[in-house]
Amino acid sequence: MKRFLIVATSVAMLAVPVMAGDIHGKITSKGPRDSSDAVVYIDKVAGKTFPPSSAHARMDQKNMQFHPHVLPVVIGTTVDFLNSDSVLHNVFSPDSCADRFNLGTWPQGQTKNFTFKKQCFAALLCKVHSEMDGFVVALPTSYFAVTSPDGSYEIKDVPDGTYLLKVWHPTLKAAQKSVVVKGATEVSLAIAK
Amino acid sequence: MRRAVSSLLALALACLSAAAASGPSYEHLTARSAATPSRMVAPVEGPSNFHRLGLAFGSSSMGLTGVWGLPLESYEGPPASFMAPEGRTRTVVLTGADLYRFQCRPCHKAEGGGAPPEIPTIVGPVQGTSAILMERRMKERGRPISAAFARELASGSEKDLLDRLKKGGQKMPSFSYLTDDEIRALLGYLNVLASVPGNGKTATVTEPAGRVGELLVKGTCHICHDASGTWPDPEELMQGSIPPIAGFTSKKTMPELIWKVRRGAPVVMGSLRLQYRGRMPVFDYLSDAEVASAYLYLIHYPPRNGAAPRSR
Repeated sequence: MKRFLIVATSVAMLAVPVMAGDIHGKITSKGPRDSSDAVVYIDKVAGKTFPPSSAHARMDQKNMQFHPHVLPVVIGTTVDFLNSDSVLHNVFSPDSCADRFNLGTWPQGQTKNFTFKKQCFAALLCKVHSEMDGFVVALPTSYFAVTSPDGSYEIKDVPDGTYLLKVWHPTLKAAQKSVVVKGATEVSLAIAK
Repeated sequence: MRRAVSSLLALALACLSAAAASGPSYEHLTARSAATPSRMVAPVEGPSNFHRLGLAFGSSSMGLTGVWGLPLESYEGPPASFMAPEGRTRTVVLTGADLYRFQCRPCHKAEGGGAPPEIPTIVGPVQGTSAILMERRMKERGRPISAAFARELASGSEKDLLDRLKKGGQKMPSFSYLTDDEIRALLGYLNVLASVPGNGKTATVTEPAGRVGELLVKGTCHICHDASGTWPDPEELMQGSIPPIAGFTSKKTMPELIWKVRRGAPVVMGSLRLQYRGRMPVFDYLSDAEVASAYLYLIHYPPRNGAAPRSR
């Protein structure tokens, strides 16, 4: 009977879900034409590790632009770079955290890839078209989101707890704020140069 | 008889004596120099770039200069007093700018901007070949790179550019007929056009006279006109058929071809045989002498069939 109670209690404890909520809100960018492209993230969750997905992420070069312009991924993720334009494109990064990679040039419909093995805010450029730029942000957790043009974002299923919520933007100063997550939690910030 | 033929030839040459419009630093072609066989000069052959891609005229910006010449009602043909250019030299000195006019300008325009999105600018790909420019740009972006990395990027871009010239691209034709010296001169001018830092000095290339005509025909005319084929009747012309290069010299005199290319000329089209402006743009940036050289080249190096055009 005692053994049964112990087992039943253990099963009941396992069945209790870890309480989780969402972090949502608005990041207002002062300066750029809108508030898009900010990456909102948590880079440390005690006791948890975040292996990268075996599925590749994708960044497209289309109409002479990188799509999406900012792509957050978990460290270790391989990103496929697709050329959807009828001209040759190249992708290189001047950043050491991305090993200053240079993938050469390739034509429409083909992809080349790179695995981001370190935490990195990597600028991506095309040496053929100097006006193009994009960013891959490689992070230690999967708790991240990119802001919409109105600045809104939502990070889902964040376990309840206290975190340092960080914000990165391609051209504005980074920001951070300590937040206590309990259920749905709203956090809004403003960032500027 | 032989003397009579020589006299006629001399008379014909005497008729070809007028100053050319601004152009490269050659005088003009002689029938003799153009007729002198050269291993370097080869006939134009095969389908046009349009035909190779299965395109119809009007569906692409390739070959369009944006200049349409005089309206139909004010057209006047070459005056009786017009004398086509005469030449005395066996060789011609071409600059990179001349090569650009013949090979690149019909599609990429005078400034190199092309007609995006179909025809991309040449400026970016050329600027990408400069390590100095690459290093400077990255510094301006706040992400400086080492000189070695800049050189690596630039060297890859140079290889890409040469490959593109030799092999062509999705729509761009191959320019594999250009010699290394011609490419060197052309690249020098592309650097000037793309404002690549340098001393501004560009190479020239000395060519057999017939080569000018060849470069012009292959780099400009052959974008839209097949090398050979049947000359279309007025109804076919109305429906969009483009006459083959092979008929240029039998259908037109040299002055007429010069007028047609540089100033425009009416075309009889349709079942009612009416005169229209036609669809061919005007290439006013070519000189009379250059078009004359194309005419002589076509006489001495008649177009060939080449590979069969792809059906539309």
